[in-house]
Amino acid sequence: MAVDLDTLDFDQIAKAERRRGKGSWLIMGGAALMSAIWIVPFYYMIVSVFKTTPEYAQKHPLALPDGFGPFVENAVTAWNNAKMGAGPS
Amino acid sequence: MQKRETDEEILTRIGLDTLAATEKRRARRAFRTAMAFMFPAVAFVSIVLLFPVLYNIYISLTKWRRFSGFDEFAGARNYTRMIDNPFFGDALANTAIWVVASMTLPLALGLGLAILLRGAPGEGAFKNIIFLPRILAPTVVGVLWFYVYAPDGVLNRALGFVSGAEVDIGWLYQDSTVTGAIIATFVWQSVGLVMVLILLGLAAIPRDPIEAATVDGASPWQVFRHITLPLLLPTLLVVTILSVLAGFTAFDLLWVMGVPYPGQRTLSLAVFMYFEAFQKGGWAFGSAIAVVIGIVVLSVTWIQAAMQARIDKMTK
Repeated sequence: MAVDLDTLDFDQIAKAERRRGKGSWLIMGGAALMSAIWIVPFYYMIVSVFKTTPEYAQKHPLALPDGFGPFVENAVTAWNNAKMGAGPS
Repeated sequence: MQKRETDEEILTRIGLDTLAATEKRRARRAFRTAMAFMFPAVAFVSIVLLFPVLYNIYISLTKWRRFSGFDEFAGARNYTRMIDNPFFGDALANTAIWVVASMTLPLALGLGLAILLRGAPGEGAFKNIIFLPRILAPTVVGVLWFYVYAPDGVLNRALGFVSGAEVDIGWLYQDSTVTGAIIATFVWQSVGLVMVLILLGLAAIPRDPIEAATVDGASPWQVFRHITLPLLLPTLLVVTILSVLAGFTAFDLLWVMGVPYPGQRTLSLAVFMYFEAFQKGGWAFGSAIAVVIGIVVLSVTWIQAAMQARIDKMTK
């Protein structure tokens, strides 16, 4: 099918394209913000796992931990506090 | 040459009775085979589902408390006590809030996200991120957000960073914010599944009527209102049923994040039941609450099943 180029309103088409582009930027911005809200708690959880109690109290909750060491101690504490190895009480 | 028999002659030769007997025997054998195949499922449902439900109804009519009263029949005493209990009304009201919120919020958000993001760049990554909380157990999500909502937790720090002033709100310790905070956590976890289900429903909608409507000059809103939405109705109904059930049985987040005692805004029907049965040891009273929850949920799902049947009839 041949398109008669003279009948097409290029200004109109360009405007529509631009409007669509702007809309998608807005959507992408909103999506990025939402992704942050969905990701940050996970990040917070993973970061907190590697902090000792004083380290957790002093630092910003989202700050990176000093090292990976405290994880083992935290895991042992969690295991014991939950009485996981104690058998039926 | 032998003459071919007519149908009547065959029938008289064999005899109608014999024929009927054969037919009956065959039907009985088919029924027996079907029962043999169905037996495992029937037995499983009876033992695991039907028996506990009936047993629970029986318990709710006894005086069973911790250590005593299992044999004593109480009649409807547990039910009258429940209606007289001032916390029962609170629990009903709190559960009603949960049902309305869990029915509308994830659905609205999931539908909006699915429609806006369908085919957008980065759709796959975004879908994965929003679905991510679903992989965690609700109790883990509850503990995680308990610390996010803490007075000097992540949320208050973020609000302080945005506003520039120190924010010190105890989100989970005020009656005015606790319900909203926990519902936000619920939405955070559940919207991913809703969005994926709606995206699946959208993918099943044929393109032709949408293209035809677009060619005929329908606006995006008209296309959505008159084509996409009606074709999406069955999916939306399934999502609504799942959400309503989650709202009625709301327990895990409330139990982990709230103060587990009556008189709190976090006292849903399920929390009330757990508290009465397992904290206070009134097994029979807890069973009575469970029966009430069951009846309410059954009637609501029944209404929704009737709606489903009507929609099926409409779309056929």
